[in-house]
Amino acid sequence: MSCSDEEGHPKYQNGSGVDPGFAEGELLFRRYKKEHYQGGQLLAAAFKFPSQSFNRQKYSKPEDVLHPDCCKGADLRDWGVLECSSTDLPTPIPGTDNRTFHFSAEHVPQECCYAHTVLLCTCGGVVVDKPSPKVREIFRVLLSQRMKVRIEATA
Amino acid sequence: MPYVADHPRHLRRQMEEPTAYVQTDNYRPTATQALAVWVEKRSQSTSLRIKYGLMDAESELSRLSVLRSNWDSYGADAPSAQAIDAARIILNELAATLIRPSTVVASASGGVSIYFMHGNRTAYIENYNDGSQALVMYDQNGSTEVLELGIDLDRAEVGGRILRHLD
Repeated sequence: MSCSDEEGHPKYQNGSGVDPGFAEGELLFRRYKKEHYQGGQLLAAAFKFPSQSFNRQKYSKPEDVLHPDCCKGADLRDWGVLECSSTDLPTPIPGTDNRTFHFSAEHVPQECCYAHTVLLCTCGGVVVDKPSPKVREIFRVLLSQRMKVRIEATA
Repeated sequence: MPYVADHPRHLRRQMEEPTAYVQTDNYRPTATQALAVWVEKRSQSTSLRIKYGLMDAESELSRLSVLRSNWDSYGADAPSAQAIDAARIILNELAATLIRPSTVVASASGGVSIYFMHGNRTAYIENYNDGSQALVMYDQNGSTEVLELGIDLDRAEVGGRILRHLD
């Protein structure tokens, strides 16, 4: 996909590498649909598992997550934006089999969206895509409770 | 007398203020008939509310059934036919225990989420795309319980667990 090159576009990768460090309290931004914010709360249904995508604050404005360059070309400017701290994620979460699952932010830049970041789930240093439903749902609930609305969705 | 407070006023007065001249054998059939009418009307009212709730949920399930992959713009799978069917069945089962959902939405994890909210407590049934289901109950403090249906919890107990959690 070619980048838009619109004025004020999100930061592009332009050959830059991964920046692995996250400063204390660095925010993560994510877009959401209005239907996933109901009864005064963000629903856990807004989050997939694994590898939830975000934009990291160091290289992104909140509204960048709604820009077509960070949405694979889609125009989602009437969606909302959520934020949470990259260093206050709900982790670790114990499994029922005595294993403990850790969650962390990993910078995974995209050509047209350098700030792109994903949350990884690991156990014993190994990436786990599908822990038990208990771990997955507890993480989704706790993550949804830590997210705050930065820009309210209108659609 | 658990029903007195909800009885029609004239019936309540009759029951609360019997005189020495009232022959209970005479008014008892009247009271019984009035109670039967009241119970029937209340039942009809409840039934209508449940049907309305199910109609809302049904139209929502129809809408979700035509979603395409990447509906959340982050690559989410569309709800599968298995997930839609599982959601429809559990909603009908819950209707029997007079529980109606607060909302039904597509889940970014793939599948359908059925939410029940009351005060600061929330429960949802996650209907995964492979047909499996989990009941998730939590409060504002993050205290969360996850029960896999058919493994941790019998399907017949789902309604009761939701009601106890939301109570």
